[in-house]
Amino acid sequence: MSWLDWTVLALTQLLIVVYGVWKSRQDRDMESYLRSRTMSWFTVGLSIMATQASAITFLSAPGLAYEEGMRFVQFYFGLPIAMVILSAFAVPLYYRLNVYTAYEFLEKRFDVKTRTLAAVLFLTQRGLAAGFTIFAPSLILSSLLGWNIYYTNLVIGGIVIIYTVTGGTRAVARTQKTQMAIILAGMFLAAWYVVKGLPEEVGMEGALTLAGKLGRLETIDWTFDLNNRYTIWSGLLGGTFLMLSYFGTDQSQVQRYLGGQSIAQSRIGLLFNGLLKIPMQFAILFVGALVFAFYLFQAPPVFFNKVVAEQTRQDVVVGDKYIAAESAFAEAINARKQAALNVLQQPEDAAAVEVLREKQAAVDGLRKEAKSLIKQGNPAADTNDINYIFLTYVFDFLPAGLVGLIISVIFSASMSSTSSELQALASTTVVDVYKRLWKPSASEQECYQVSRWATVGWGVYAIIFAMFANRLGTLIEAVNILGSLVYGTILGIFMVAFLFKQVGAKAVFISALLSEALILALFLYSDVPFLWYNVIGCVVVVGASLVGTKLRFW
Amino acid sequence: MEQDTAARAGEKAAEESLEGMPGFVRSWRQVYLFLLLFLVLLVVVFSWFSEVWR
Repeated sequence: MSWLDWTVLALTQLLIVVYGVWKSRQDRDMESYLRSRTMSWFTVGLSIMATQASAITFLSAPGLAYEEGMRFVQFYFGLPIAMVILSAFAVPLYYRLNVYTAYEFLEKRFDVKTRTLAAVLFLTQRGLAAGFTIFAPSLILSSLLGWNIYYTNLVIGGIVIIYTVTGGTRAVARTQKTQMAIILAGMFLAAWYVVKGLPEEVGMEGALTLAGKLGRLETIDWTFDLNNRYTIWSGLLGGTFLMLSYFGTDQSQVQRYLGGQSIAQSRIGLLFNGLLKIPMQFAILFVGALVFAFYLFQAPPVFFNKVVAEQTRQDVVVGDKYIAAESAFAEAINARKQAALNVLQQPEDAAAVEVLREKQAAVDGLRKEAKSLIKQGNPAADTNDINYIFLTYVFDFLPAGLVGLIISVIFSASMSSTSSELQALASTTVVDVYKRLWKPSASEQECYQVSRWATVGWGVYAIIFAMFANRLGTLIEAVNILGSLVYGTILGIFMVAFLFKQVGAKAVFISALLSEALILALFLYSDVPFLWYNVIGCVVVVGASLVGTKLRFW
Repeated sequence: MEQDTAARAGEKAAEESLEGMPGFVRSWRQVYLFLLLFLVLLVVVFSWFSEVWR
């Protein structure tokens, strides 16, 4: 990175933190630290969006479009539906009960046991997830820039702890507003540069023609196939359940909209997210499709993770084969470039399009072969390089200054998610555990101080997890499995609370324990894919509660 | 009793308040319907977009 990149990175991050802390310098009590009902719908909406969009969102999505097209956008189709349901039912309910956390509602509806169970499940899962939110971008930046991963973890985690502890909810929301501005500006400039970097004879229309002919502009898949992860049906059905669970029961999101000045402001904030999220995700994926078109005329590497590629080249067993695969790949890329130019000259010629698709299939085949060689050389190596595609383009082709801005985008996205997570962990620790179980007589001022220490504690815990995460192997899967072990049960408890008035505390608590036991048994003794744990956990809690109540078991 | 009734009326008014919305919006139901129609519109536009460049 050049001095200009370092300056842009340092200045933008400094601006974000100083602005957030300065604007919230007078918040010195528990109410303003944990909830602060002072925010407009615009701040609430941006804060919700910034919390959901982690660094991986901005690294993975363009890579996904590059590799598979834009069908990932369908994953978000359930979001507007979930926003409407939550806005109509959950927001007024949380306001009416005047709660700090989503789990307080469970005590009002059921009992303290159920509230504590849901809070502990949340703390277990979200505490580790916060570590992963710090670790994931650090890993990619350290791999591409040669940075020390431990220092990167410390810088990202340390900055978040400072402004979250200093300013609380308002500082988090205000910094998220600035962070979103930097994220959107960075992504817009990156897209503009991709188009600018295309050969003159190609232009925007040529890029779209080629990306479209090679399937990178496919967005909607109408087939009903359970094995296909992204279809309109999985987006509308599965996506609605997932978003209801995330936005309705996860304190890191609930805390965002409980910070609205009024019910109306919180509602508009949620609906604003429902309105903008899909177009924003479409735009990010579109950048990836443009990067794909750009690489039709600039030779891409056969594998985008440069560190793993270099290790494979040095491998005594597969090194030579890998270098030969790279040469074959370079030739295939040249052949594809010629075919692409032919298509541009005669876009309606079906034979020319067919040749281009054959050349693309050859390129895909060689990429697959290279990944297989990497796996042979090191069975523990991660052969998924989707997260590295966009950043490889950024480092190789964007001018000095803009590279610093894109790194700032990644820092901002990581910190905006982490700050919400730390705040949610602190509020749940204080409201649902410390004040409810440990010291009910604690004063507001005491709770405020404990909240700040809890934020520091969870921040340090997340950084420590991020430090060790490097040694855990396939970490993304590990964290997703951990989340799936508890999310279904929590969603089930909330669904019973909202929808089935006849079910009592004992029934839902026993059903939740049964659900967790079943999920753990499935995890330890079966091959059921972990994504299904969410559905099974929810269905078991709802089903067992209803059956138990009807038959008067509990 | 009267205080409870007044408090409940206040809550209901807060829940139905359209503060921050443009003047032509009459109810939350209209807003929800607009968002769901927007989703349908996005699906139509995306389908058209894929078809045009296929």
